[in-house]
Amino acid sequence: MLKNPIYDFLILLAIASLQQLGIARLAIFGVSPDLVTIYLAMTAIRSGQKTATSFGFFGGIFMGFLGSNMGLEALTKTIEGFLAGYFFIPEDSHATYRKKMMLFYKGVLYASIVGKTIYTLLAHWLSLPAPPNILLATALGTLLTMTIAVAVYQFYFKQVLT
Amino acid sequence: MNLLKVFNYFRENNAYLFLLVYCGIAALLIRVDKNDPLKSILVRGTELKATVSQGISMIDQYFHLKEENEQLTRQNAILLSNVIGQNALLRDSSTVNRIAEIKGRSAMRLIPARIVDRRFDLNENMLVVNAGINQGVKKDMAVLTPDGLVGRITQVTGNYAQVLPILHAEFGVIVFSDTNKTHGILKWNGKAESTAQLHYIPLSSSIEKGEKIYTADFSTFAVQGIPVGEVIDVTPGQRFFKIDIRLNVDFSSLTYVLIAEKSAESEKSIFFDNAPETGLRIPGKR
Repeated sequence: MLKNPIYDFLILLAIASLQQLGIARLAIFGVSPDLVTIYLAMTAIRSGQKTATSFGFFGGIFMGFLGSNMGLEALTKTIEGFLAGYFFIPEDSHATYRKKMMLFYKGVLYASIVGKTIYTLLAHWLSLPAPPNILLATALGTLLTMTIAVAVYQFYFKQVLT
Repeated sequence: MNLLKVFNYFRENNAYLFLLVYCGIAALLIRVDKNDPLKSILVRGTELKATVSQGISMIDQYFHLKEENEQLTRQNAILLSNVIGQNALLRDSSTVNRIAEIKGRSAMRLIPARIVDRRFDLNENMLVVNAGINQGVKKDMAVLTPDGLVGRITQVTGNYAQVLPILHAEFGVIVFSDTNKTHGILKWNGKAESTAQLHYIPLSSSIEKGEKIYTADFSTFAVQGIPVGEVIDVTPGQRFFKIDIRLNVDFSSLTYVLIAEKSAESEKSIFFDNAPETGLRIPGKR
């Protein structure tokens, strides 16, 4: 359970801003890591599916506000939050350190793969005539996101979960 | 407090309900993406993003001063060559008509602007420039550099404008080749960022590699004669040629642009904008 939902929500907005204004500029082959996906997985692990789904929706709306495709961002982030929610670790859980780590990584991995695929498919469907790079966007995007997720877990989230 | 109660009520219910409600709203937002109320919200978002991006890009700019200087030198060289060329024309009395044409063209006011945000990725390519309504920028103005056409203004706020570049699937412009005067529609296929495609060139045309491509007079937003690129590949198809154009503008190093003042020609777009009534709808402006 989140101790201070408003504080966590403000962090979500800050991360969404950073994603849209900073990280998007560091794109490799047009693909960048997704910090919001990682944060949604962190939220889902700590407070469950409903909160992560809500955070996903409002985070997506805010990302759309700063970028474009507000509806599409909201849709993909909602689904990402919902999926990551399946890896929720209750507060009274006796899961081992390794199990908690794997749940977090799985949450990020599944959310990223599904989110990137849906976003790329729909974005191409809405604009480009043919989707030539869906596989590249999904694979590279997930790889970059997972790399950041490992760093986030090792330097910060590990302490929060233990 | 009531809002908190509503939120708590939802929290206590099934997560699938959340998913359903949020996805429903998101789908609705996708559906009404082009409607005015949502557009006005997105315009505010663009303004906010552009303001922040301008601050960030100032730092970035410092590290690219050398490249910018080189680009300015190159632009000066082009302008100087134009001046020399026009002086030569003035001395030649046999080209009075040509001079009149150039004079007419030079009456076009160009608004300089700097790119403060850009997005070149797999899904959406967009530019934001730091010139808006206050500087005289309007929707559907052409954006160019001394090298050639960059795109078209699609959204304008007080001090910023959003540019739909050539490298976007929704972009289209009517162009012609300098030697054969063959007209076609230039569009981008979403692949290489240095290459666009010229469509609807009939097999009867004698277009060849190396021909220069310019914007045509029929365009609803661009003035005639803005350089666009060069033909690099011509392959016969079933009814039309498949033609690749190497674009003049290097989008990867774009920093400054010029926005061409809207001409009376742009009134033509009314016919396309009022599509449902007129039945003249053509995908994308040209």
